[in-house]
Amino acid sequence: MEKIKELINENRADIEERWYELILETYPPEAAAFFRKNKDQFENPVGAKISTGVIGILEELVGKVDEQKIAEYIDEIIRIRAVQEFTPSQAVKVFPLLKRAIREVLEKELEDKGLLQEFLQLEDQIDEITLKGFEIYQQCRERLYHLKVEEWKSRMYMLLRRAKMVYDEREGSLPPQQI
Amino acid sequence: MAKMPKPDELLKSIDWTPPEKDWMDDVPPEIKPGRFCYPAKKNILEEIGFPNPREWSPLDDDWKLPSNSREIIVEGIIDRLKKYRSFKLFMDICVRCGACADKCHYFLGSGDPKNMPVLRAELLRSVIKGELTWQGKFFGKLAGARKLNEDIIKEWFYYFYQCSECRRCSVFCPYGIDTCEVTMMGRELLHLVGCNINWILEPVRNCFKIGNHLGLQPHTVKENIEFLCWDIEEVTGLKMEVPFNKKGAEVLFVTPSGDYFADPGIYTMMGYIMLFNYLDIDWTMSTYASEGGNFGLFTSHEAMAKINAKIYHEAERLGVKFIIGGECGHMWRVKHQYMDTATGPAPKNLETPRSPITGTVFEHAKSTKMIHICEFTADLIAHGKLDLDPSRNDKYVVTYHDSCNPSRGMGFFEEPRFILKNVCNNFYDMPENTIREKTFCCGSGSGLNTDEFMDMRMRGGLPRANAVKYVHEKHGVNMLACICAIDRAALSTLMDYWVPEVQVCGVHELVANALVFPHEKKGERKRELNLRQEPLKPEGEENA
Repeated sequence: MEKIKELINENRADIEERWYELILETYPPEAAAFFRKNKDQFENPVGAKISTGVIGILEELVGKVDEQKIAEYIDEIIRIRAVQEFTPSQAVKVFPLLKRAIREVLEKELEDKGLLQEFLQLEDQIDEITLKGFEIYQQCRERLYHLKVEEWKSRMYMLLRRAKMVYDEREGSLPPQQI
Repeated sequence: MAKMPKPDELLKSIDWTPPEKDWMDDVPPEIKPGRFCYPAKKNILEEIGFPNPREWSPLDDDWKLPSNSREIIVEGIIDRLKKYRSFKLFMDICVRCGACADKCHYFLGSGDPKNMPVLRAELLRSVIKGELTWQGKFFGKLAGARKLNEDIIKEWFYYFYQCSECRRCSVFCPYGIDTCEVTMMGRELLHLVGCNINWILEPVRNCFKIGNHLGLQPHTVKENIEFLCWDIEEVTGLKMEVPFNKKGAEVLFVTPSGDYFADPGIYTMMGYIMLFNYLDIDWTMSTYASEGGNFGLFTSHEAMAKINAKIYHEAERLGVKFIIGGECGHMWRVKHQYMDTATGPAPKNLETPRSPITGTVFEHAKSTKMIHICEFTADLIAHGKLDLDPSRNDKYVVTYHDSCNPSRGMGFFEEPRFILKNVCNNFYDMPENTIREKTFCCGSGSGLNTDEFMDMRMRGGLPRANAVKYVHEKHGVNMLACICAIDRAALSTLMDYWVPEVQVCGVHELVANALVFPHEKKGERKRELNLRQEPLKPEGEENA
């Protein structure tokens, strides 16, 4: 994989830009224009987080792949998309878009048949990232449902407590069936 | 001189792709679960006498609107344009400069163009133009005008309930257009045809009928607070007194009902109780005026005035001298901006608030006779009247969220920060463009803090959570203090999704943790637990 990684490294800025652009195209044009323009990480958190994820994932891909770190970068992008106007497949589509960005930027270089094996390996690696992305997407959605339940418990906290029905770490007591 | 873009830069910045669909034609919106709040129940509307009570869902094709909805709403618009000069001005004056476009947290989180404040106002403005001006009638879409129809009513319902009335956009508007008031008008018009949400109207009904949003009856209010007093006794060894409906007391204390029912609001409530007991002032709570919050503000001006009036009625009945209000967000917008004109003048028995401990006269409240608990406490601290041990909050690295209404609605920035810096040793503000008047909303304000709206809440709360995450990573912040009951509930959930390492508290929870009672000073009973009944010191350190 050395040669293809080298090629990506040499063209990293272009690939980053193209991939970022392809991701922005999944948003309405007015929003994409704003995400692209404002570089302030606090005034434009969506643009900034996607950008951090894009740069980070590419950096990991060309270096030694650190599972933990790459998962954090995937999380940066997916945690946002899990609550935006996307279906699950649209949300994780950002990673297949990386394949497209690489193919487009390295179009000429990839004509070299000698690179085929390495290229296929790289695409496998991106598939793994996509699957990890789906896993994180699912965790985010599960978290939302968990939060709905937790919120109701907090909202009704005094009622549940007085009825001796709270059995979480706040009270340290046992579930009713175990008392 | 400003940097001139080079020709190729200029060319690059031009987007040649036309929008897929003109915003005006993009109706009705595609309504999806997680992005709207459930409609008000039929019986609730009947009980409060609101129009068109019925069973319906925004997911249905037929919203069962009155056949003359268009006439009803156009009448409503004419009526409001006559009544409110601000509304008329806001509808006339916008030049579409776009300064507000990227300031809304819902737009920043969702990227939905109709969440740009300018466009949200345009949803209403275009109808006013199309229905009431000759230019609009004549030129139609060319003049940015359209006729009202059922699809547009659906669009309004979707987007006027995707605005948390936080007013961040108005800070950046060169004309000072308050889009929040546009949303208020939009919601009032929707009420006329029965399009409203249960999360707002059931609390309004509870407030009218029982006295507070949660519908807690007098004995429940009292018992809950007694329960909290037992908790305080466990932590401090002291018995607390909370007088209820006490005639002739000096101070009436009013706070949102979430403070004595929900977690983590209850710890803030314990904080108020401990402070008043420490000072030994003559105070009372009321089981009638048992709600500081006012969901009427999110409903209509009449509902807001009716709910607020209870506080003055009770202050008059009990014969108190002035009123202290707890840590609540929109409550303070009502007190600061509308109480005086909507329910004033204050009853004659009320006097200009004067701290019984320091003698400070709160001149700015001489008309409403009501002050914020943080003003009261900050004054006590400034006069050295509280014995505080900030090291008791050492396990917390604290930041402060300026709740939208106290900050933008009443310019309340310094008092809470002054208190926090005196009651804890580790305090760090978030970046400048995310606090004070530029603060980001929790994403759940104006009655949108309901669980079915979770996706939108998480999107809208992203800019706030993102700034918290920054100070968490930079300074190790693990506690987000705020002075709003909705924030305490909503930010807890928001943090759990975006920055789970950070907890949420009210300012007075931290005050009470740090407060050294006389017997503690003598070393009679050492405080080992905080109000959450957790060890005071960080793990690994013994309580000194």
